[in-house]
Amino acid sequence: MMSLAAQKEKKIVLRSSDGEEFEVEVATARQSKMISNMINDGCVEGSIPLFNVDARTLAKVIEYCRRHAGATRILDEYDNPNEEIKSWDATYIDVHQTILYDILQAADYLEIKDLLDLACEQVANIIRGKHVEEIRNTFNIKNDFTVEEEKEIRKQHPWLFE
Amino acid sequence: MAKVVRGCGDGGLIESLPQSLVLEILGRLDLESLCSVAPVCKALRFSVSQALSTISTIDLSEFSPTVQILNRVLANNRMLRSLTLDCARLDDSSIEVFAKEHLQELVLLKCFMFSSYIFTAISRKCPNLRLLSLEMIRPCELDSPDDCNNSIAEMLKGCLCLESLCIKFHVQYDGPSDLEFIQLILPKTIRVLLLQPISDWQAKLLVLKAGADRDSTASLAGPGSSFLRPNCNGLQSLSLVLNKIKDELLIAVASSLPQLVELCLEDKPLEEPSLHNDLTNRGLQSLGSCRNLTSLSLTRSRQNFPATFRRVNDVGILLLSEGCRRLESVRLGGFSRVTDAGYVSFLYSCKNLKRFEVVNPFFLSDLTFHNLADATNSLVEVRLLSCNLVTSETVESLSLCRNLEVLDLSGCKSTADVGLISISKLCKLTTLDLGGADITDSGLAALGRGSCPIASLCLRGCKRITDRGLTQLLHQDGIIRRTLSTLDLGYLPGLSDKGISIIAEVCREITNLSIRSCFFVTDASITVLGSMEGFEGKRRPLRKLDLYSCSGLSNASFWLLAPPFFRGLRWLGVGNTRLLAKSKDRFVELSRDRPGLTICANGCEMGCKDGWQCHEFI
Repeated sequence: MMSLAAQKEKKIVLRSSDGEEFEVEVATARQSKMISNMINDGCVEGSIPLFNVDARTLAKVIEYCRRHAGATRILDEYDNPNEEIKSWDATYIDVHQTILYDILQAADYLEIKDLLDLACEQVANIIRGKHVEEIRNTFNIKNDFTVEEEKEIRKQHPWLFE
Repeated sequence: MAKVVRGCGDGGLIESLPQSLVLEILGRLDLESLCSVAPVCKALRFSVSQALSTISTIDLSEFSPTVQILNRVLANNRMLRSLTLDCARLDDSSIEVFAKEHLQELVLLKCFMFSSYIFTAISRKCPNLRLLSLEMIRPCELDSPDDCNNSIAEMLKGCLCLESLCIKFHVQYDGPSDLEFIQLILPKTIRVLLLQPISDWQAKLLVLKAGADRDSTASLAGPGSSFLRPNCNGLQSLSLVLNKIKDELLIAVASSLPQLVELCLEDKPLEEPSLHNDLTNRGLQSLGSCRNLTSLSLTRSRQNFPATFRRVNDVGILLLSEGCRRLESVRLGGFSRVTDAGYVSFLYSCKNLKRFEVVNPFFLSDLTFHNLADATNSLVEVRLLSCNLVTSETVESLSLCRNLEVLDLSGCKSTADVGLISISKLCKLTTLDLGGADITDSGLAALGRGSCPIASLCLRGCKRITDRGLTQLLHQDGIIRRTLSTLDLGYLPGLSDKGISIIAEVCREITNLSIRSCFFVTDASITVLGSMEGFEGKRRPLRKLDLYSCSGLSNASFWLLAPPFFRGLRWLGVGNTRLLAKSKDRFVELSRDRPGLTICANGCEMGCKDGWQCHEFI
């Protein structure tokens, strides 16, 4: 194991699926359990190819990891650092659906649990309190039930169609 | 089906997520949202049925399901461990549906139509139960009190792992007769017990027996319990609603259950208790030997008779607080002779006091809170109900408690705007009750400028408040318009449609609204509230709406309450309105068409939490 100071200085390179390279601090990269395991196993020579994450998403994910690794930590303006990071998270995840899904899948693939939680919670938040039709509209989902099936569902879930 | 290619446009994306992630998301949803996802498309219906079959905790307390709905939700579930259920629409036949074998925690609320068969059925079907909580009506006609006590005894024999037992019988008349008290032999596994109603001598026997059991099993050191302190044997939390609290009971508790962590006693005397038999300082002093006590509640209800604890004074309270220094939660009601000197002793002796509640004190004044000492940091919740001597000075003192989350001053008529200005800087305050306070629009303006993230606000009966105050409370840069979810504006003569339309316009999170007895609210308010979701996705639909005694509503407003308006409404109070008088049949029809909606014609508070036992729903 490297000393903490050495870890801080050392950087590794992540390559996105579309070939763009990102140099990041080890502490930042270690937010991903997958990459952390790779570092422990010593297979980080050269760059780490991430076939499932494109450059746009990777940049966004790295932004999160940096913040949470404390690498770009600005001086606390709040009393409570937890509150501060929460509000940072809330702003961070307030993105367009397309990006949200990309982050979700990247967090899953890279095994960044906190980010996965944050993204799942955000999708759940969008769903909460919405009516069936609103959910369809919000997520642009096509109703693929036949008229008969739809009727049956309405019968089974009358309280949802009030 | 043509799937939209990822990253191009914004269509059908949620369908392209891997199943495991979809389940991860669905797993975070409450049951109702989950059910709303099912009819969206085939793929999601499949995912939801999977999510439903593996869900282990279900809370249906905010919604009274019919047996069909319940069956739909629970039918394929084999994993259910914990279930909370509003049973207002369920009877004995539904037991088959929800009494799952693996259940460990079962909470049944508003059991209207259950007979004592429920106990027998539970003991047969749920042998693994650790926690059982039931709220029932004493079924006077269906089965005799003896049958009921026998069924409870049978259940206790069947559920051998039961650690927490809570049985509340609501009686519909003044008070139970001797026969109708709960009688039971307490199993040794019980750690948490709540019984209502129980007679004082039954209670004493129960306590003595529990103490004897504890002594006899102390050497065996039972298996780990999931509640409270795992290594400690015997009863740790005891809550009883009795006919009379006497010294004997407290002395029995102190000598038999010295390990007790929580004690909550309430009595509801039917007549003035005789002086030589009533609770005295001696009883309170004896409790001082329960050194582990962290939560204590002693109240005398005025429900049946306006009696108070006449033989307890400051000395008793002082001795009690001296002994129980670990108290974190104190609730006292009906101590008519205790003064500031008594109340203040808790603030000084209990270094970790988090919750402090006093109900109907005659002599509690601003002096109690004059110097809060250590309590400044520890207090999280303060409730001072109907304290006539409390003024804004107390509120100002409490504004130093940075961790305060709940402040309830309902019925403290002498609190005024000055107090509001000082508490408006509390940045953890989420619940504020100012019912009956002497505040004005400028007080609300101060609150609106402050930093309290208030979710629940009660301004009931603050007669000087007008629409203007509400506008200032919810002004553009304030935090409250974003955090408010429950708002009680009952009995406000200064409130009109203008105020309501502001609420409908800016409060995104509002789900519960009471405007009972607001005479200047008209149909126009119902129109803006009902079409709230017209602002697509911007705000949550109203869940509960109390219109009791809103005499400004016309008969025509019925159509504003019916579909397609007020989608998602779960509870509606329409008692004592022209609306109800003229359209009762229509309400009956509405209730049939909307099984998710409970309509109360009796004037209950929101959700019929108290009072459900006294009436039939439409």
